[in-house]
Amino acid sequence: MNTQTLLKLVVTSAVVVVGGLGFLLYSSRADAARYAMVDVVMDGPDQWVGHDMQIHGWVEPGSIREQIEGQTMRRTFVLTKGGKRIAVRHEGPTPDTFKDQSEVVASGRLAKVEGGYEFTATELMAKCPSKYEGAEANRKLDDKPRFH
Amino acid sequence: MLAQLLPAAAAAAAPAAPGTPASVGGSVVALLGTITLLLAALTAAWCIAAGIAGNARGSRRLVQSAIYGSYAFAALASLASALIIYAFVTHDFSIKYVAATSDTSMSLAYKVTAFWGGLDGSLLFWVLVLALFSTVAIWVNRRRHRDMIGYVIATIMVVQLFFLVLLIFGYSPFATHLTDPPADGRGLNPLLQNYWMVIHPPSLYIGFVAATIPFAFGIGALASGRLDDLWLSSVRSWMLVCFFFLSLGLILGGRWAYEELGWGGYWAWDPVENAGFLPWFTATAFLHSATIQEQRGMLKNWNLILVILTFFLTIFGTFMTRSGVVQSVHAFGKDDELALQFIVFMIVILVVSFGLLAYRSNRLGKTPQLESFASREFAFLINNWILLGCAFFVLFATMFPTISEAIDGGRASVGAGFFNRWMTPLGLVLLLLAGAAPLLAWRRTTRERLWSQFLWPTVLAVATMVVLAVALPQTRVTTEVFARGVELPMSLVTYGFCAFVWGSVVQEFVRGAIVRRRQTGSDPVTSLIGLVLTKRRKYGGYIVHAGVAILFLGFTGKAYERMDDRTIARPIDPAQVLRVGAGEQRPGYLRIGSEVEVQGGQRVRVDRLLHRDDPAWFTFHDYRFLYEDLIDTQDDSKSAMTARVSVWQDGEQIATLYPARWDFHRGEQPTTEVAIHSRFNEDVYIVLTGFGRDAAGRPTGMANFRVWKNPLILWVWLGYLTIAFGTLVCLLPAGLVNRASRKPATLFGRAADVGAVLLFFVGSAAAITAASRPGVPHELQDQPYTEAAPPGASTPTPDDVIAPTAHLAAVVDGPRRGDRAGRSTGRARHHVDPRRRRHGRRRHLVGPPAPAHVGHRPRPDEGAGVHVRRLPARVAVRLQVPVRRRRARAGQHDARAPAGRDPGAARHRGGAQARLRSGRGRVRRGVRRRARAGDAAVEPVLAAAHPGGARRPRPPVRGRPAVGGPRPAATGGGGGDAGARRRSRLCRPAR
Repeated sequence: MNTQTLLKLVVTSAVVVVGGLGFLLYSSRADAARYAMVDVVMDGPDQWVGHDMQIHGWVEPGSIREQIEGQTMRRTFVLTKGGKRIAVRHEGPTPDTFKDQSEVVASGRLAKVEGGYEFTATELMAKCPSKYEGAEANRKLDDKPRFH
Repeated sequence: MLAQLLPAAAAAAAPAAPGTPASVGGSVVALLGTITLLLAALTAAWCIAAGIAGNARGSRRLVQSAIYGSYAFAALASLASALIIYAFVTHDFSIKYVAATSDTSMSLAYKVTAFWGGLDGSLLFWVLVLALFSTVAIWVNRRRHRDMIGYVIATIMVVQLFFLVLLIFGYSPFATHLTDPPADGRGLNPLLQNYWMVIHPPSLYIGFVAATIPFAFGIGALASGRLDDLWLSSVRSWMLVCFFFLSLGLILGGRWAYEELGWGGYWAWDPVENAGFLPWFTATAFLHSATIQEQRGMLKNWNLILVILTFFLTIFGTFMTRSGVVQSVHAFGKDDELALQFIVFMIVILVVSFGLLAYRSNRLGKTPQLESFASREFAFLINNWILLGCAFFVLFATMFPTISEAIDGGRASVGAGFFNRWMTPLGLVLLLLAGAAPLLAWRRTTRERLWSQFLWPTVLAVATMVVLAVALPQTRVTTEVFARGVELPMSLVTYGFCAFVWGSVVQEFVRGAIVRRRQTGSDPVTSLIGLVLTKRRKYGGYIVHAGVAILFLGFTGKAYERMDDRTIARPIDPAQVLRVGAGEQRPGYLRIGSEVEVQGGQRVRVDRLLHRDDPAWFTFHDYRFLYEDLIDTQDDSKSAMTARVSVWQDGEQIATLYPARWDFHRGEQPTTEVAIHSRFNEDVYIVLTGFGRDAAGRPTGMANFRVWKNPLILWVWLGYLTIAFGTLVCLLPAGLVNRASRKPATLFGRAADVGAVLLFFVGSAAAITAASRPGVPHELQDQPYTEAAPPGASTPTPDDVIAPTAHLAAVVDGPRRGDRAGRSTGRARHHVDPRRRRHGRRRHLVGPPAPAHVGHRPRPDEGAGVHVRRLPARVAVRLQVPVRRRRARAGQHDARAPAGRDPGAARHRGGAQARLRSGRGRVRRGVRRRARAGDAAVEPVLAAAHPGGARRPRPPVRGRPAVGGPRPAATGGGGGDAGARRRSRLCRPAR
């Protein structure tokens, strides 16, 4: 292989690598789901509208309304944090720990509706005791097992 | 250091003095274990010193000492592991680790596997596996690599020492409770009590650990300056072992997630999964580039870098999962101290390795240049770049939340969609290369050869794509690649590429076999086997490629997967099920096994009748599901809520599935028990995502289901099996092949050969059938049939006795599942909660529980209710008469009945709640048989709903009487009815 071919190869590889990296960063920006607490979002909701995001808050007591329509369970509830509130709409199953005052991270999108904003959640995660906490057994005991 | 450590350990061993609180469980095991770990650390330190000094000074005695030291280390590591397993088996809860990850109710298998169930134990397990592997590697290479084996041992021992220091100073599995040891442990996480979990973590660890051996040889080669190809040949098989176990660990992890977590999928790009995937990429890249160095002498530097990177990524993966740097659903929790220790170690690895590489770079010499782009080495080179690109991408996306938080302070994450968009095209290029590289020649491929090699695979690929696109329009589905909005028909491309790989692999085998046949003159099969056995690495590799193509076929199914959530208010009302009655056909009642005329004049036999438009039905794509029942059961370790759902397609019932939720008494949250009906074209996958409870906590019958249609997923597992087989072919040692290919001299030898082959096939077949049989879960197998009486059936006629049993049996009847190995169901110690005993076992066939049990008094909150003084005759008859009559006939009473108590009365006192120790599945089988005898039929309603889809009557099962007219009294033990007889023998009231 002569020098010129090698040069071509190097240049091509560089272009591919740099181009690929740039594209990766670009597409990752579009894909990133941002995460924020309810009060942060509701301080300036317009900038969050229409993006994939995760919103974190507490379920307002008494706000859960569930209804079976056909064979679909639809529910609405209100997430609060620091006095700010957001209405959330969701279909499908919930974590077992989902109830009044539970801490919830909802994934979905914020939309502007008549008279305010509404969050349509595709998935609800109960914040604390993770289902997969492989974990519970493995987490260090309070008194770390070490020699004294 | 020792002064600090030993007194505590010694104190732990000292028997508690009478006056002192019963402190510090006097565990000798803990003391021995601690001492063993300390000795191991000393041994490792000696091996490092002796190994380096021995090779640097050229002292054979020092090197020999290091070799013996490494054997001693393996013995010590084994002893420590044996001690901790002993502690698990003997319930030594004074040891914190044992108390934290096991309890007395766990089965032996899980007690042993709890060894690696937590952080501390998994570190010790790592040390053990590395010690065993390094012993083998050192023993094999002790003479061949005498001038660098010291360095190799030193490198391995540095790694060992790192883990030992973690073990001794922070995470000792032998640490004991300073105060009162608990009476029982906390138990292993229920999610981990799954048979896949028994083998998944160790296989990943083994894969990780196997990467250390090539690294140690690479460092040894660099340190000694012996940078020829000799070290490479010693480590290639170790990298294959690493590849094999990493693949096994990854696929088992996927299988576990699929069966246990209820995601509906097997791979979710979770950081922990990715941690195992990263070294897999570099290991695979190394396996290919090592071949280039072997064949062409190129890429010497690159191979060293790959070996270092693979090892680094195993440590990095451990760091990611153990330190909590990356948030994950199943990481081990946050631990900054551990993170710091790992970071320091990783920096040391990188600095030392790349420092040595730079120091020795002048010795690597000039390497040959690439001659042509149409060459195998170029294809391998691209493969290397893409694999490395994949590793980089996965690393980037996994660390994305951490990176984004570091850059702009805001937390953001990327979902599985992002991974899929990038990995799909990258994976497809790899797939294409898997087919193309074997067709190319080393150095340069001539145009004629290109033509002759690529013609058939390409034709096959194009033909596959065209045929699929025309015949199966759904294959034209488009998938997003790289970025949102860029959609291409990737699944069609995948099918084409799979066909290409298969074409290329088959062509290679066929051409090779033809050549060999010409050379040896043997028959085609013999020459094919001979071909594979003589060039094991080449053809083993091709088998792996074929397996990869099958794997991709499975991945493609993801493009068509569908999911839906349904909430069903209640199971089908048994009153709505057209029940089977007695001799005459009452309205709505038909006898199972009788013949009736359905719409259209067709005569069919009745199997089971279901109401047509009940809201308990739900339709999902081309399947119909009937929510039949929600069953509440209890055992020692958990309470289980199991839904029974039958799956129908084209008017035929194809399966009965039992999705469940288990609430372990020790667990914090219920776990979902997925039910899967697996077939070659697609899996039906049901998760019980929740169920309703009323204010009093009783189930209302409402259930939430999440159903998935997962096409082609079975091929993922089959693809992996092919890959594993190919890898094993590559790993076959020459000695074994030679021995096997020698013709047996004696008749006995020949018989042994035939026997081995038979054993292999029979064993595989048995394993596959055993693994693929779903069925009635354990929890339901010991359910007595204390079914609530349906409305209007309070005064049953004797004839009714047949029917509900048969009905129930028919409904329960389904493919049986083999035991889920080792799952702790507490079957042997089955007991009923005292609170439950009072109200009898709840079993909701009809909405709220009917107060049908003897002794049941309605609670004030139950509203209207009847105090049942007598068991509904139907239940009584069905459960007890056979027992009594049978015994009466045999003239024997239950020997276990306490003296002075009439067994019959006792039974009656217990009534429906009298738990029938029913002999588990055997009772069911008996019942099933009877039902089967008459189950050849159709339900007219469904038949009417699907004209033409009517089930053909099955011929009567051999050896069982076909049921035509009124059945002989099954209640009486039924003369020739083996099932009923067995049942009656087994039905005993519980004490």
